[in-house]
Amino acid sequence: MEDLKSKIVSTTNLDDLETLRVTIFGKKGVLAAEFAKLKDIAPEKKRDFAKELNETKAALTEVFEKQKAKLEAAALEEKLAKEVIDVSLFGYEATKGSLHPVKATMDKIIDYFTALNFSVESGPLVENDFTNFEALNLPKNHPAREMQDTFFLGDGQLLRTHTSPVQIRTMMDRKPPIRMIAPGAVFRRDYDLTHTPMFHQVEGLVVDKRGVVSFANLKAILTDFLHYMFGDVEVRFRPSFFPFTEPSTEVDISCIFCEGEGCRVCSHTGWLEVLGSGVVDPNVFKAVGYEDVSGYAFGLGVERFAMLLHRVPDLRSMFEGDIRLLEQFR
Amino acid sequence: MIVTRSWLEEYIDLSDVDNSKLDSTLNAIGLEVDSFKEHTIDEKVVVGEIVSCVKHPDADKLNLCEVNTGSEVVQIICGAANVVNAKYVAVATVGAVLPGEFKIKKAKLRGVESFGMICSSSELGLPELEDGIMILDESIGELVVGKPLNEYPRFADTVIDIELTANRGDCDSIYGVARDLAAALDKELKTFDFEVKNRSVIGVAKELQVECNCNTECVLSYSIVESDGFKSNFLQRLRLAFIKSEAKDDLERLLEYALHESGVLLRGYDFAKLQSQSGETVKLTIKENDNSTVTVVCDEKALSIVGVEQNSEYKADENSTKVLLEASYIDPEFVVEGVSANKLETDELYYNSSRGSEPAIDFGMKKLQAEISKVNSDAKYSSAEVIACDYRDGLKISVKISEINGIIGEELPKAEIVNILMRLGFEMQKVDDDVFAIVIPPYRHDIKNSHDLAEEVLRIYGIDNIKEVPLTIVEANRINETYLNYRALRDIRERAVAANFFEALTYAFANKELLMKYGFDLVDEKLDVVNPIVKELNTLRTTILVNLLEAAKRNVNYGKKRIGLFEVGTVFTKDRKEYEVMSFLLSGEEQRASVHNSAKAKMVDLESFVAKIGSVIGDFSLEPIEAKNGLMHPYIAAAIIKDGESIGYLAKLHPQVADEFSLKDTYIAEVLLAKIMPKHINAHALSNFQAVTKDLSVLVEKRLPFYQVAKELQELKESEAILKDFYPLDIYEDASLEDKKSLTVRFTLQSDVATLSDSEIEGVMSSILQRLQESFGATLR
Repeated sequence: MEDLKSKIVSTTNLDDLETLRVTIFGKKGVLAAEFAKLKDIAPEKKRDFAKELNETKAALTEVFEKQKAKLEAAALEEKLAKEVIDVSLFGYEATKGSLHPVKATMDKIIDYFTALNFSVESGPLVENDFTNFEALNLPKNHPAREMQDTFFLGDGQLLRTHTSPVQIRTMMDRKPPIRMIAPGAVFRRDYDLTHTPMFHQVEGLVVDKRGVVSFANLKAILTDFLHYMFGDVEVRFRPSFFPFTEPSTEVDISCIFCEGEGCRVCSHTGWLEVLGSGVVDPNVFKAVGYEDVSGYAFGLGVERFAMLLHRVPDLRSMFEGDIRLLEQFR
Repeated sequence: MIVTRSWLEEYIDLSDVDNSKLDSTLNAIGLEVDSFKEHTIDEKVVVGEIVSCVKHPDADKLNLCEVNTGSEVVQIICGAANVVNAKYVAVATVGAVLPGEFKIKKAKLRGVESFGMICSSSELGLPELEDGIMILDESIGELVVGKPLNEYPRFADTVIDIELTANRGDCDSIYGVARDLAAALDKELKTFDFEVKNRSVIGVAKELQVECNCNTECVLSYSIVESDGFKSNFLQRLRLAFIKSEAKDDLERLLEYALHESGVLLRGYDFAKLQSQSGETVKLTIKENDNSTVTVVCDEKALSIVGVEQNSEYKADENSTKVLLEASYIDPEFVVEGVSANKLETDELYYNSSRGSEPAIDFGMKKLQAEISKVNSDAKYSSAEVIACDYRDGLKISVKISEINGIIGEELPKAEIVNILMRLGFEMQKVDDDVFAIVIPPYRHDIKNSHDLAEEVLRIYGIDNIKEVPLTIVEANRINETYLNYRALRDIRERAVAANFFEALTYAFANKELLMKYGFDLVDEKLDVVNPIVKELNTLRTTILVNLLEAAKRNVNYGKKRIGLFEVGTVFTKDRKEYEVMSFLLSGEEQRASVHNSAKAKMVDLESFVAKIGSVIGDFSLEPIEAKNGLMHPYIAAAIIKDGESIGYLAKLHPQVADEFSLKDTYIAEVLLAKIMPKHINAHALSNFQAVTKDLSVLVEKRLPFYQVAKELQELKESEAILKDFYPLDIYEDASLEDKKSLTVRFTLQSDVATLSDSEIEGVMSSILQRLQESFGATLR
């Protein structure tokens, strides 16, 4: 009995174990032979003999099943081990492309304003003098037109110099209240280290009944928006001038490179100008036929936001499809 | 607009305002500080008096000076030619450190010892003045030998460059900035006066008669000055250098100095020349022309266009002995209109006149006379002859305090608002509790309505002091088509990124030559850009692909072997209609050389490109087309068919073009964005019965493209309910088949109502075969 047990335990593979199974449990096996003796045993001893034999069989079966499970596990492990692959070779193939930092920044901006119940509006790139200038309180010969060097087209139309004409189109198309942003490409005839002939803006406009929308509202939303974009920065509003807003302000954030200490990027001022905004000038409302309304408007350059947000050193590189830049944004 | 601290102090007391406060105040009131430069001069640079000056015994160009530096007289060698005329100079004594870490030490030049340096302006970090060393005079203050120059605020000044907005012509002068600062800091603005009485010897009436023939808002003042030539002093030249003046002539300097300080338009005419032409009495006519200009005419000769330019023939200079000084003001809108309508050339005064120059011409004239007299003590003047063609008093408007507060969004006390506006020079007359009648000061051309006044209040009250108040809104559904398309596009872009493309962003312009070379449409010349910025961007683009190819080429130059780019953007039709496309370019290695491919890179191919495009834009099929442009490979070019409609094209890049752009195997595609937007989907019921797969092999013409077969099968699919799907499984060509090929198509059959019976299956398969026989003469293989 003990001999059989040790035989089972000492098997090293499932084939040997199977051979042993036949030897012990098979029809002509050891146990079968023992059970055959039962018929020759005296009736009064039969009961004890049978009991003992059953116990022996149960014990052997248990040892056998245990050994079988152990050998099966070992066989599986051996099979799996043969499949081994150096997975560390594969990590280098994990790759994808990336969104353009300017477009991704625009997405981030749009997320903010749509979450605040702004609509997203769009308009054509080719505009006319009225929607791009005149209706925005930029009459012909106004010195402020010089701020926006324009690409003109053969038929007297022009490429929009800002996304503001979308405001005009939206207002001419719809009654107040208006709560919109207009993201998109704009064009100015300027090409140097810090200017490209095309860039992107997001413009915002809120219009409601007279006396409802104020400068204090504008200050609130822009401060919150800049915290959303740049985190824990200081926000500064400076009075400025835009023909389409009055009062007008430019908005600065404390320099994210030197934390306001003064560095090359902020021209040692400690501040970075990021936004233009103001209370909508009544002349703009007059041009679109709105009466008894109030509103605020703001506009920002997406490239500038992207450059500040992601520390992109060179504006022009962003328009060159340069994969060395883009792959950093994977 | 450049101002200096000491110059501002001529009009406002800044003794309790340090530079940091000055900087923040200017910014806070809307005078944006572009740069702020404090000039500090080493304490060891002092006022020196040249006691004697002789030539260096061994060097022609060097001078040997004995200089009194207050505590001692030292010998200094100086190379500047103008030192021979100098009395008071700036001396850097031994031990002084000048900008650029330049240490002044004892030195020996050609055998002679030198104990210091006589300085030029640039050696002290100041802007360049005249050639040679600075010759000081008492215009910067009483010259005390040995006193450090850093203790002369007019010398060691702070220079502030203000980026003036287009509406603030009133601040385009030292006086104007001081006036605004005085309001902001609630300080008194110093007044200025100059009496010519004692110096007035010329009887103006005898020599000058001015006739006005003009109805526009225009005021002029004339005064004759006699002097034995004109000179400037050190301070005038230094300050002009601070403001980057290019004046080369001393009279020009005096005019510019007085203009910069007062903001009044100032000119000088050679009066002796006018008299020699017209006789002792010179008759001037101020004439308004039809073309929106006002000219100053003498004997039918135009001397100047007011606010625009001056006839150089009659311009006075430093050698003139009798000069007619003119101070003028003209309505800015009128001037701008005239210049624009007539495309007039303008001089430096136009910057002021177009933005609204200072209307207080009397102040400008007096300032000019005073500056002339500071240096030219012999100058004699006539009294001023003032001609007001049409002078308008300040505009009157009425405004509600409640409206100003409404615009700002805070209840500022009425007294505060009234106080701010009065400080800014507005006359306030109370009409009732809320309404005021306001007279706008004549120099504030930009103030017209309550919004403008709200800005004035806001900038002086301080934006920082305004509480942020979130706007309470009425909620509304603002999801529109633009937004839905934007959201969908964002998903599409993300899919392109997942398919290993980088998002490119290129200009909406293109190079016309390249578009022409590759056979793309051009925007009609009559509609195209008339003033392109560079040759490479000289037309509106009609495709994005050429831009992507140029980007790809740059990437090759940067050593990139795998280039996958996409861009979504606007392109233009021939008649300049705008539409949006999505363009793809995939070039070079699909998989770089690595252990996974036995170090042999896998190049991109049609299959991998098509699979990637499909993962971005969804299911499509391809139909062979003739190349539509020079970029497309003539035999690997296809229309992209989606929902039975051609939505764009896909091709291998023509190998010749690939060479031109230094590219290896490259594939391109451009599709209409509107056609890949997700569509609304209605689900159909699911079949609970097993699907059957059946393959059918037929012999067809070798040339037969699969899409023609697919078209027939697609039609059949419409009528055979159990034919669910099919796709090409295999193509077999062999010499034994001659001009035929074996085409195997796999079909998926399934019924929605029952398990398919053999006869049903055979029925549909035989109608497929029959269709192919009829259409293409196909035979069962």
